[in-house]
Amino acid sequence: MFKSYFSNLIESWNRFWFEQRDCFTLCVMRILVGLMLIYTHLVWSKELLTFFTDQGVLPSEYTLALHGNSWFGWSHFFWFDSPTVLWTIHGVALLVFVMFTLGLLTRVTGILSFLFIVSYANRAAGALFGLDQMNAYLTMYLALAPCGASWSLDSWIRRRRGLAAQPQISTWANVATRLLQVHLCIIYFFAGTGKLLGPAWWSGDAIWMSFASYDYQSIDMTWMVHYPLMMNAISLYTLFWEVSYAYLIWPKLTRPLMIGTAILVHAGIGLSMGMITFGYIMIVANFAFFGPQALRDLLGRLKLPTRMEMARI
Amino acid sequence: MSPSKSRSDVRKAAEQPIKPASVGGDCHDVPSWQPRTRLIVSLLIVFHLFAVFVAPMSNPPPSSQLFNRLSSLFSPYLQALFLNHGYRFFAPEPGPSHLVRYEIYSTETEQPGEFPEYNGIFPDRRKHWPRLIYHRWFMLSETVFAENSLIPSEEDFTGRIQQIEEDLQRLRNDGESGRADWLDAQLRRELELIEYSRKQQQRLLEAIAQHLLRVHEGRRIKLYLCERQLAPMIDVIQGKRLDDPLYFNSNFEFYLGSTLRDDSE
Repeated sequence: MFKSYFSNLIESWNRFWFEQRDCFTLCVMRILVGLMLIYTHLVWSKELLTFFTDQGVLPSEYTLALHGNSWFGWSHFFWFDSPTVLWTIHGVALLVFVMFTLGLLTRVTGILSFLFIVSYANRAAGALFGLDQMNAYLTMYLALAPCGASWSLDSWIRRRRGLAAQPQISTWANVATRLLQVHLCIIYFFAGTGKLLGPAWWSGDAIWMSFASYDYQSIDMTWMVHYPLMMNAISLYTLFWEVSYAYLIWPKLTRPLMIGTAILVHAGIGLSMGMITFGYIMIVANFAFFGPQALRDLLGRLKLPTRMEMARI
Repeated sequence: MSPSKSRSDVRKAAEQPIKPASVGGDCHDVPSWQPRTRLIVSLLIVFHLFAVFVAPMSNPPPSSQLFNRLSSLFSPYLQALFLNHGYRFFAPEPGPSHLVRYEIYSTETEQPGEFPEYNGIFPDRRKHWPRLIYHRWFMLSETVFAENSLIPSEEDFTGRIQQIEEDLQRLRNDGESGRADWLDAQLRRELELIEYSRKQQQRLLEAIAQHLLRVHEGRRIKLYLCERQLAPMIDVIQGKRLDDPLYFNSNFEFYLGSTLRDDSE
């Protein structure tokens, strides 16, 4: 019985991680994540020398010490100091992000994109927030997968040259998707359990405290002060949703509820608390739980060309 | 079930080819991975996901000694892949925000009743645009607050040292040298951490100060850490605005220091 349990376990493990999967969802995610990478780093251009050089606000001595002076907290910004060199590398990084988004040399630009994200983040430690963590998390797993198999310049070039199309299903696509999913569950689990330490999440006042923060505010939500019970309900529902996401995202019955709530919560945070970038990237992360066919159907409803139509073209 | 049969079942399960999942669109015939490849990738996945799990278990505090030790083992991997995060977004609960206010002077020496040439604050939503840049400055001011909160006040620090020295003396008098050594080691670690935090704060504040002096072409700068309290519901019902000075007054202001412009660079 013990052995049969183990054989079932191995079978389930293999099925979970190593079945082959359609890459379509990952290809769509590549475009959505790529756009955010371009935006995030394009915005850095405005203050490149302020945040990434010793003449700026974060001296390398400070950020290196944050990494315990370890080589593993690496960044190309620690090796070069000349503004000309830094601007040139910044230009190259932006080009790589554009190529990754368009799906050009995707396997290479995926890895390079991830390395650039880590390099920027390690140097600017002290000015980072959830967006940077999510950018790195998503790009790392997308770089593992053949996410340039469709909706990419790579596939267009292959067709133009009369070469066989890249396989649309692969085991790596499944490994990457599963890693995206499990890692996202870990993120929500800790975001939720961390909130359990805060009395305001239990008392239901946390949503008011978010709306009452002037420095985060982008849309005035203080009119909600007249609906305290509704704010209580939103706070408590957000807490339950975040704590239970890691379990309830897997059954098909509860998945739409989890994803629907994720979209509402992140869109709400994005719009009202001035973190549209963070809200956007969290919604994109939830795409990992969209089946390829479901996503095709959804895009079909948006009147976008499907892969079959693209192939026909 | 006989043991030999069940052992072969386990081997069969491990070596079974994986059938393609139910996928949308056209499927190509792609060979699935060999058992050895699956085993290697499985080990890598377990290692990776355990590392991802260790990071938020050990950071931020409170955290267990077990996961703190595990975290230092996984630290190179977590650092290299930028995975060392706690993921505690808006936890434990949304709180007051922290801003850095600064005064720029054109003279090097302080004059009685002097007025600053320039008064500034960061983050500043009128100046820092787009919103993502505003957020970068916001995170920087929160980092200044976090570094500052790690350093105890002179009074607390002296009191704590005195208390520990008394405890050490008492333990040594009672012949409990083992416990005394342990407490001594703890104290040294604590002192090292405070010294590290002081150095880090100095580096950060000096860099910020020099940058602002260059930008505003000043000779001397004073930095203050400010806190904006969250408006209580009752105040907002009575018509107070979130940016009312009541929530952002000098009671919540902490003087960080003053410095002169360094022209050596």
